[in-house]
Amino acid sequence: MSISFQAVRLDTSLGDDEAVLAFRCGRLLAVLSRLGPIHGDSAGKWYVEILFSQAINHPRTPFSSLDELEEWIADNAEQQ
Amino acid sequence: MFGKGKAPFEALVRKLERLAELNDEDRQALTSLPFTIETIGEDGLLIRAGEEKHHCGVLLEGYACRSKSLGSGGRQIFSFHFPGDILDVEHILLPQADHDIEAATDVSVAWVPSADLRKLTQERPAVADALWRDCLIDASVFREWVLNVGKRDPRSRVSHMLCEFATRREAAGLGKPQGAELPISHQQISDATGLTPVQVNRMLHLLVAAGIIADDGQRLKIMNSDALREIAAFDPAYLHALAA
Repeated sequence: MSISFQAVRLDTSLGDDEAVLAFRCGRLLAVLSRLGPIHGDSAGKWYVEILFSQAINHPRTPFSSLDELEEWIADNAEQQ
Repeated sequence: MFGKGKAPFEALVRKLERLAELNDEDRQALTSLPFTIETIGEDGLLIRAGEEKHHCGVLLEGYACRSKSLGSGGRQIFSFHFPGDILDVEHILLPQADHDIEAATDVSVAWVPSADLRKLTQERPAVADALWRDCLIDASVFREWVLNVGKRDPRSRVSHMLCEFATRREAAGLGKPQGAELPISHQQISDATGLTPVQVNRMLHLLVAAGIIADDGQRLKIMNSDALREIAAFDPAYLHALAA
């Protein structure tokens, strides 16, 4: 399964504006933001803002790295 | 083991007096109920969904919450409870618990045999009226929470939950909303609003930045109650007699 990322900025005043679009096989799978300093111990982690797959439950905890996200998708996603 | 002693039911009597006109005999009957007291630490389970209960819990100290959980682990809190509340009045007539009741803080609970409460409602119509109204208001609160979780935007949703908590806390005689310290964790707010902890943190951060609440990570403090009510469009009419 091939996951690729494209850096974007979110239009938010909350400081979590660094973000990526996550594509699976060229199709948009999720939008993730990088958590800012207001999130304490979670600052710097990647949080799934929107997930477009209907086959995966929205993860409620953020990921330490985009590699960890890829592993999580591989473990949870049904092949579509 | 049940015993009779000094009944710790002053808060319960005060609450029921808001719901129906009790006379001295009603009050005497309530304070004479048999009970046993249990103390449980924060996050401890008071009642587990599925178990059979032949006692009802009267909350004496601390805060409790009712919730249901999915097999996958997701939890939805659908009400908070305050000293004087009967946590599970339904167990007078429905012995099988259909949801969990947990200690939101350290709590003290008096367990009263359901049969004694049922007998009391049969013998004292004013007490029966009060408990019936209490159940009806519970139902009203649940309707409001469905609206809150389903339709309000995240900032209003968190604000509404905090307004209700502060209002019910005041009705329980624990002080005005303005300046109130609410011992609610971010995780509890998340479970009560259906928002993720990240979303809750963002909403609280917005409220802190606006000077409406303070948040030291352990408890929240309401700094501007009027502004919080305005954001939530909080109308306490659904709380009926439980609004201060």
